[in-house]
Amino acid sequence: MAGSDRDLRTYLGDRYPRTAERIPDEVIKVAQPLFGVWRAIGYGRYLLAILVMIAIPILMKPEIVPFLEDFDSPIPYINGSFGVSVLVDTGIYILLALGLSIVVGMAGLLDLGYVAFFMIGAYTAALMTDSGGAEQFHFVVWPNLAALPFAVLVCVLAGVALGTPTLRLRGDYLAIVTLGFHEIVRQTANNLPQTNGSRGIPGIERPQLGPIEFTVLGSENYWFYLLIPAIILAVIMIRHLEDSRIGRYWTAIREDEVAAAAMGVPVVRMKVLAFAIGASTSGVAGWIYAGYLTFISPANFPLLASILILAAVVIGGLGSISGAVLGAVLVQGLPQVVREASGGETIFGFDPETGRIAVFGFLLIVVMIFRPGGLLAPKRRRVELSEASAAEGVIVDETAQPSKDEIEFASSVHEAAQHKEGS
Amino acid sequence: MDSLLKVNNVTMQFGGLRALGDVNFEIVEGEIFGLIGPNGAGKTTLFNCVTGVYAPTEGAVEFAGAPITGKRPDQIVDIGICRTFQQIRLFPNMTALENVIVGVDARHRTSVFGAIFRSPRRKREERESEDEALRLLDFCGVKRYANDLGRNLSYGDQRRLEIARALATKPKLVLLDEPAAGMNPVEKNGLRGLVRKIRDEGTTVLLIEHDMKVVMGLSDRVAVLDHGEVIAEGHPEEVQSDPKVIEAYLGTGGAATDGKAGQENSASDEPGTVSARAREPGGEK
Repeated sequence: MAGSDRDLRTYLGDRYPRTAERIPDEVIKVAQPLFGVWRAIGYGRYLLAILVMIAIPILMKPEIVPFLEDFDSPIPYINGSFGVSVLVDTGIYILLALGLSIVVGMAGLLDLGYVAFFMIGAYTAALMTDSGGAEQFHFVVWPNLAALPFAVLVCVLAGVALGTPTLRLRGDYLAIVTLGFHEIVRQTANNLPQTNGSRGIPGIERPQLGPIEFTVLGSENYWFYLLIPAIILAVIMIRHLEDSRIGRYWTAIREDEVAAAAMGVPVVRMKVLAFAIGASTSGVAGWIYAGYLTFISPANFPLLASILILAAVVIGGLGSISGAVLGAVLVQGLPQVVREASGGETIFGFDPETGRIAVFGFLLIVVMIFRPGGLLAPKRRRVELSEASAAEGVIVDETAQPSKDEIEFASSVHEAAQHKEGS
Repeated sequence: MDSLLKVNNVTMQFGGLRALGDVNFEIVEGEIFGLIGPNGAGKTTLFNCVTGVYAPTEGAVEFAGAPITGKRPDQIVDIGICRTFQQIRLFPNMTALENVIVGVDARHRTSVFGAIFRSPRRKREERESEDEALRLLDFCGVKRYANDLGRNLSYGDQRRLEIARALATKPKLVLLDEPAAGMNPVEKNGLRGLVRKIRDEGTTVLLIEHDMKVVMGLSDRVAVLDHGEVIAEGHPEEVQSDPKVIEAYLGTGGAATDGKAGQENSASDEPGTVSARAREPGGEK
């Protein structure tokens, strides 16, 4: 089975039916053994991903990769604060895009205020830990790591709190409410004395894992390593949900809410669940963000961030996990690299940092026209049908042949139709 | 023979519109019950009242002796009633197989945590659901389209797939809303065979149908709705010859005399249909 010629083509066909047909046989033949290995390692592929990601910051040093010394790159090599900070930013966006892909991609609930959950996660982490220079801005003083489960929990509860009253709304109405939710959260943080208003919370403590201190200088690698398990756990969680009745229920709601309810889907409960689980990854992202920056203020969570995350999910492919990851890399990682590579020069008259928004607008339109499903569309479940059943007739009943009664009826209908046309 | 579904004095009011007025009937276990009536008579509204889409303004619906009025659609499915739609409502971007598995899922109990941690129950249920979905696709004659997206099936096959999806929830009573609409005579014939097969497998059927041939040939009993009221109920032959039914379908004066009657019919039929349609504002979009 695993070695058969059809396997890879079938696998690709599930995602890209038309493209898969066009791949020449020779390519399939060459790729098949590699594909076999890939399938055989199963969960080992996550391990492989971990190893590769651990290797990136370590290997990208001039001492290890000599050509980097001669290579006159405008980008500081990856172990420097710039390279890894791009990776950390991207990682945080990947977590956010994964969460939003549950809400928007799978359950089809247009959430324009997703960054509110990110903000709630970050503020929870900040308010629960020793915020260095400003002791008055915390409820309890816990080690940073202890705040992680609470950041997730508070985000989940916020998801439920937002979801319960509003998820009876559909489409545009829900989008407007989520927009308002983001504004409420932002303005609350902007005005509460406990959150230091628009000046934000400074000096947030960084976590300590045994001997590893996530101190400011040279700590980017640690943050990056912290993100890897978070992302992989999120991917596994969403993958498992997608592959169960919960994920199918979400897709059914996205496809047709009325029909889903009529097939026994508890629509409101499943929507609240989508909001809650979607918010959970942004709790982790918020916690990392607060500790990583050590300073957060409402200005760090603008509406534009929500739009960018949404763009990542849509460009990548609604409902697709790998698509969300790719989208986040395109939206957050790529522009930073391009900006640095351009060395502050403008590209076609655009400053790459501000111009990226225009580029994404354009990219979104292009993607929607040429690949409405996104760059990496989600795969659909298929089964291997035996040749016999695939060749089966449309009507399998023994009553397939029209009875006398039926032929009479057919002709009477025909006559009636002609009669009607004639009159 | 126990009565499975009891509709007691159900009234449905949309503002000033009385879509259903004091509707009463009973469905016995194991029968095929036909519900007919002109366009806008309130048939689909009645379906929506039974399946929890609407809560009736007055009256009650009982299923297997227990009241079900006011329950949510998904709770109604749990209790054992499932339906199809007059305007086909498949999940267009899911495969036929997935469409049916969503129905099978209604009887499964994998929780969120069971799904995330791949509990043994989830493994068993996923395996079961695929087998069951394939069996139902086969039963309804659309197995060979298992891997096709719902929206890519032909009209008649979409109707069959919708029936398969409804049966997947293991209902005791299945409500079919105009399953033969838009089918050609051969497809209709196949459908008749399918509906009989469903009944023979032990599921009671409530059928809305416009096509008199289909509904009369298939139903054990028939109720006729007109302007939201049951005007006749009984065996198909009795109902067919009921003067009130003939009047509802052909208009007043239709059965009276010859001559100008034909003209009168067509004159009274058109506005009747139009106004009847306008009476169901909250129905299907």
